[in-house]
Amino acid sequence: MEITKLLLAANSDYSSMWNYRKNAFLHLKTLKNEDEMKSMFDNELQFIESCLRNNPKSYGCWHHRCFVMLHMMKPNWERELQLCDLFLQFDERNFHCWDYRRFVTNHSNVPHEKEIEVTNKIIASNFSNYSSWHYRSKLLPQVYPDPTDSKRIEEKKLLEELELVQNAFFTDPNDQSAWFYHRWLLGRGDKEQYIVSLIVNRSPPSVFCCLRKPVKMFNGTLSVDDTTQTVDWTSSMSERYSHLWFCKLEDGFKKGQQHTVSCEVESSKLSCCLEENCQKATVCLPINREMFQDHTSQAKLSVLEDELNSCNELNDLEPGNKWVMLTLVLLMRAVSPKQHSEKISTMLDALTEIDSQRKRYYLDLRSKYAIEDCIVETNLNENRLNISGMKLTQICHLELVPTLTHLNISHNCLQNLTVPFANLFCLEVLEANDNKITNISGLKDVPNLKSINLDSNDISDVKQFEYLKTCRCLEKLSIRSNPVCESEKQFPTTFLLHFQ
Amino acid sequence: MAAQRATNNAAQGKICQFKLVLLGESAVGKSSLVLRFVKGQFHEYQESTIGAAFLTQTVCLQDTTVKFEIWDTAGQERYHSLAPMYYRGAQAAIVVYDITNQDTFARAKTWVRELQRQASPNIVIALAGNKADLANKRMVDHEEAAAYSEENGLLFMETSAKTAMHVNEIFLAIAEKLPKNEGGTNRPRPEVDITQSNPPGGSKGCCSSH
Amino acid sequence: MEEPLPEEFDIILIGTGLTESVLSGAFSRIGKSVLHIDQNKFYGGNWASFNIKDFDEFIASGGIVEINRKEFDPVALVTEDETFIPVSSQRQLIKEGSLICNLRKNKVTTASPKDVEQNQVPSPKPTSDNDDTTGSQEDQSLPTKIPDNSAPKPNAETIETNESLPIAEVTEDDNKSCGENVGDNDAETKTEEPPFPVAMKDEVKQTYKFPSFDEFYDQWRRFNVDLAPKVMFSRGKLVELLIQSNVSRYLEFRNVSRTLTLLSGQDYLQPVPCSRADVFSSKFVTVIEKRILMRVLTLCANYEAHPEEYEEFEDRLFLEFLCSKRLSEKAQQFILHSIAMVKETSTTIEGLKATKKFLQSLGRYGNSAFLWPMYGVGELPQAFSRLSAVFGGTFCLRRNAVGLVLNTESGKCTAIIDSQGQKIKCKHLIVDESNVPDSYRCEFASSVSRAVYVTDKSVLASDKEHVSLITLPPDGSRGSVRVIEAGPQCCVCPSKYHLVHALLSSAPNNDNQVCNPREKFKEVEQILFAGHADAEVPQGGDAESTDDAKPHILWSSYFDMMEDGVTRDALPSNLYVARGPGMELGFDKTMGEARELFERICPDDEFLPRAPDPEEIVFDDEGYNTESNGARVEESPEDGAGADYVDDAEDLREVEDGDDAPGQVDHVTRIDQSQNVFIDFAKFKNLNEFYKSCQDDGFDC
Repeated sequence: MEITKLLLAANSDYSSMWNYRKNAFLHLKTLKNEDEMKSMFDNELQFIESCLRNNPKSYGCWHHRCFVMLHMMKPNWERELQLCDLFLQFDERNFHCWDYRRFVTNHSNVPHEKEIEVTNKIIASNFSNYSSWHYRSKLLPQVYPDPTDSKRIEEKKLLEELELVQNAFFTDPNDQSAWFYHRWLLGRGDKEQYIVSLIVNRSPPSVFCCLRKPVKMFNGTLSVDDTTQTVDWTSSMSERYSHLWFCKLEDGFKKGQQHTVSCEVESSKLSCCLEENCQKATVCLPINREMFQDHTSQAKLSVLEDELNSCNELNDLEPGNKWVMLTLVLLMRAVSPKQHSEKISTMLDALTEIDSQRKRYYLDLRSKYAIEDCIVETNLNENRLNISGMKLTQICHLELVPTLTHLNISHNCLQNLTVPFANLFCLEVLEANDNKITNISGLKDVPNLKSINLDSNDISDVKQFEYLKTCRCLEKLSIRSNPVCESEKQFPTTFLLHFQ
Repeated sequence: MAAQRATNNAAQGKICQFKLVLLGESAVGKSSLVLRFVKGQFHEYQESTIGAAFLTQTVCLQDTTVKFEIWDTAGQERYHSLAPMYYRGAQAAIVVYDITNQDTFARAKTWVRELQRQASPNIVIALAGNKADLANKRMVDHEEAAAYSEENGLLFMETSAKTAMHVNEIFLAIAEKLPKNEGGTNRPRPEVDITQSNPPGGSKGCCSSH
Repeated sequence: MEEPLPEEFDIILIGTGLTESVLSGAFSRIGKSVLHIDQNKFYGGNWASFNIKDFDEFIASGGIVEINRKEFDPVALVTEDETFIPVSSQRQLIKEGSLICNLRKNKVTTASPKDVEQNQVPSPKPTSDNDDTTGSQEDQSLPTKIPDNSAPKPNAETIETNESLPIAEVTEDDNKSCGENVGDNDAETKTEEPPFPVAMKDEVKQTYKFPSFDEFYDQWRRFNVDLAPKVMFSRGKLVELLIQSNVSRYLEFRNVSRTLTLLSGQDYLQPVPCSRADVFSSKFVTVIEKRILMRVLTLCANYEAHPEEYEEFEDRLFLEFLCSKRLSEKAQQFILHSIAMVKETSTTIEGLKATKKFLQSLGRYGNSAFLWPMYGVGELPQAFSRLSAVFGGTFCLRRNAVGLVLNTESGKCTAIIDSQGQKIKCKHLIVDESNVPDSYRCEFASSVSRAVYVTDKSVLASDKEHVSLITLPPDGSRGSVRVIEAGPQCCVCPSKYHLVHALLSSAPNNDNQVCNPREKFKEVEQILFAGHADAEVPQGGDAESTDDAKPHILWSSYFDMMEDGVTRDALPSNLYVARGPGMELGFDKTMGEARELFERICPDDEFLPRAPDPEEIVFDDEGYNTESNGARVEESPEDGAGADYVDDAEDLREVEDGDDAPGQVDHVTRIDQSQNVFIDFAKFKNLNEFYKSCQDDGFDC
């Protein structure tokens, strides 16, 4: 014990030494009486404290402290809280200490109100402190919960918080932590899970289910004519998160009979009717704006408009501040994408200039908005989507349109097709010509894809085409004007044969 | 080095630091007492006090380590010109007189009175009858001084910086008597250590930092 | 009874004000022999801090001290080739002093006015012991006589009390009361000052909330009232010097934690948002104002880098510049009066410089630009004096020079003749303004009016105790007023009280608009305070007015401090006159002057090099290890950072065994040779000699 003590005093990050001590304590606990253990634990706490004074950011120390506190008969949480106060006074951004503080307050039932007060004080002395804002975002929903969403806060408090954080970013618009908190306030929690579409095949009897949020494991309840089925959901993305899930039905469907198939997950349920003489049935949720306003739409519109106004004021005072502009973009998008579409676009353009390091992020954001607008505006009944010539840098939201048969993404600025196109299991024709695509790994396992146009792209590695081997229906591939074409030697003859 | 210190820190329990001042007439042996205590040395022809802001010495009690910050008069008492700042915030004082000189005992009493009024209310005061090795020239009765100390709640010892008699003991006795709770005083604490920029709780400057 | 002083010094300083004390420390530090004397029984001269009793006494005396001067003929001590220049009269630097205590004698408040007056007759002496005063503990043979009550008191023209004045009782072993005299003053007060009636109604309630006179004066020692309150810029010259010289060891500080101001048209104080954190939390400015304020402050903090932002205003007013930045009027006032603290007529460059200075200091030690020395500004001269003493300087209070001795031929000052009739030679002589020989004196250049108040609470309630700097912008006929408020945590007053200093400068001959300092502060009092404690004693039901939130004046004093009446051109080349505290808010001028004088006298020496920490002073038998200039002593071999506690038990035993210390039983004292500090005092003399030999060459300049 003494040796580990010396070693740890020298280097408190030595975690196996802490573990050794841990085991020693567990062993001693079986041998010694309560008083002896108490004094040993007290000494240990003192020792840890002395280590922390040397190295206040040692994982091992804080961790070991948790261990000791949990094994003490009568832990003095009050003192631990004071210790946290002390260390936070010394370094208000020590997140180890913030974590430990949460640990202590959880175990000692410190009222959350009191802890909010603590964050008030620390923020007042220096608001550039992500940890305290973050802590606040964890505490507030517990004290002032939003009646409809336990992870959010009630409106009155929300307004107060917005005012507080507004003070911060008006004082210093370059302070990230305030902007992050602002975004948390205006955002909503996790997107709700729901089923976007359901596709039923009569033969072989199977169901495709497309989800809003990708999951690693899907256990939606499937019922046929109100009888729950035991099914095994699989996805095309083995081991990875997937939007699209597939299952076979053991019993199958009766020939020439109508069936109602429904799938249920969390609070969402979607039903699909397989008509008597149909081989296949599809049902999709109608696509609307709300689906995309994922950052900010839950807060009341008037709040958003107020925020938009003050950010506009700030933008006038502080032209060219990226945080202000980005927030403006998000707010405009949340309030009225249509009305502000032009301003959003100019602002994003400006942002790519001002904050060139994050150019890519802004371009992707713009692509996302463009795709959303297009999806909302297109009549999807024809299962065709044309998002060509929009300077897109990324493709997203494919999970919302699983029934597409034709997709045109040509004449954009795409550099790769890595998002899983497998979700588009009805897709037959993909036009991706005139981009800068180098990588087409996302085109794996697209079951019904018959024709791909990849003319005028940047594909230089012949191995990219290996991915297409998994598209079983592929009939036509056009790859004119790609670097790969220039050296024919690269094309193994066997490979070409496959496509004939 | 740092490791060892940290270990001891933990092993020794708490460390309390105290300011201790020496008072008394010139040439009663104030500096000699300190020198004996801090270094264990004695010089027959001791120069007047010169040179250090204060000296430090540590005393170990059972569960506490007491670190004395010992302030010498720096000769300012010579023309009766000691600045009151000297004993400001002192938690302990040794008032020294020379047992061979009755006047110095009278002066010591004045000092005790002064401390009782001027210094912090819970100051620990010790009276040291120094030069106890010169007992044959004694002019101040041990009993008289002891009685006076008793009356005034002082620690009392006759000491000899020359023979080291009761030198460590008097410091130890003080260390034991000092209250050890969190620094030992209830006087207002300074907020700022000016040698340390941006102290605990310091919000950063106006504009420059984030 | 006292030992005679040595007969010759390199430097003699007369007066222990801050400038002289800094110099004293600086000269001793480099090994000069220094004699530092002061006619007062306390340190600090016009920079001193007093307990309330000594303050009363000081104001009553007008700052004039009766020195116990030996009878002798100074001219007899002067040789043929020398000229004697008398410093005959001590110059009166404090004028128009007055004191008012508004507290009643007893806790029982139902007494009729007559009873009260009778009560005060056997005026209780807060402590009847002698040698009470801070600096005079040693002083029994030289009681400083307060002018007799019946004798004329030319300086303290209006000593008023509504109750009683303790001054009269200060004379030692004298329990005689001065009740009648005080009663007279009291009567005067009544006629002159109807707003502060002494008369008490019979219906005065038991809910009397103010301390009694006795309760107040019982705590007299716990006050530290400054004559020259100032705040330290965190990056000002003084702070740098304290750190550089290690004198900071003797001192303790608190932050001046808030800046308050009064906006024109308003009648309440509000906090000025100075720092980023202040701006963020301020509830008095809109978010838009916050943004603009922050932008302007950020610009000012680094204005040189952005000439385009202010160039066109370079020759125009700072106010115009601020205006051009879209600052609201409120924010302009904040910056002008409370951050830059410049006049409305200041130029843009002056304003920018001042703002930058403020901002540079901000945040060095917490959310504040200023520090306040605990126990008051009077600690500062004491700290530098101690440094001087530690390095061998000789200090002697209650002594001054009756005259200087000039070498007739060279015109240089070669010696002083002190009040004990001793002729002491010197190479350089530094005196404060009150000790300038008559022949070099002229009219005073200016004066500062000061008021000190003891109140029952802070001017602006808060959940924690603050040291506040309050700037009242000029308004109409009233000039700009600066106020410093400190509380018990600064050890300047007992708990439940606050100490408030107010100061305004007055032009030398202001055509006597208002010359009584007390009158000058009337308006300020109306802004800050609810009135005098007595005036407030409820007479009807209107005590619950809004004023109730404001503090009451329990005790107050007013005085003018005179500045600079010296014809410097005529001085002998080795006589230097140090200026007094002046009007400056901080210490930069004073520190600048000290450094300048030092460099004139010792141009080749370092000004206050760092004094070694105790941990660094190591003496071994080979000698004292120093660097060549003695600036820094070699660190102890093991760990210079000072690992001062005991390593382990084994070492202890070793020391115990080897030491001759007898009778160690229960506990062990550890005397650790390597880690603790010790000085071989016998050798130190050599060090001083060593210093001397190093410095003698460049000395006579």
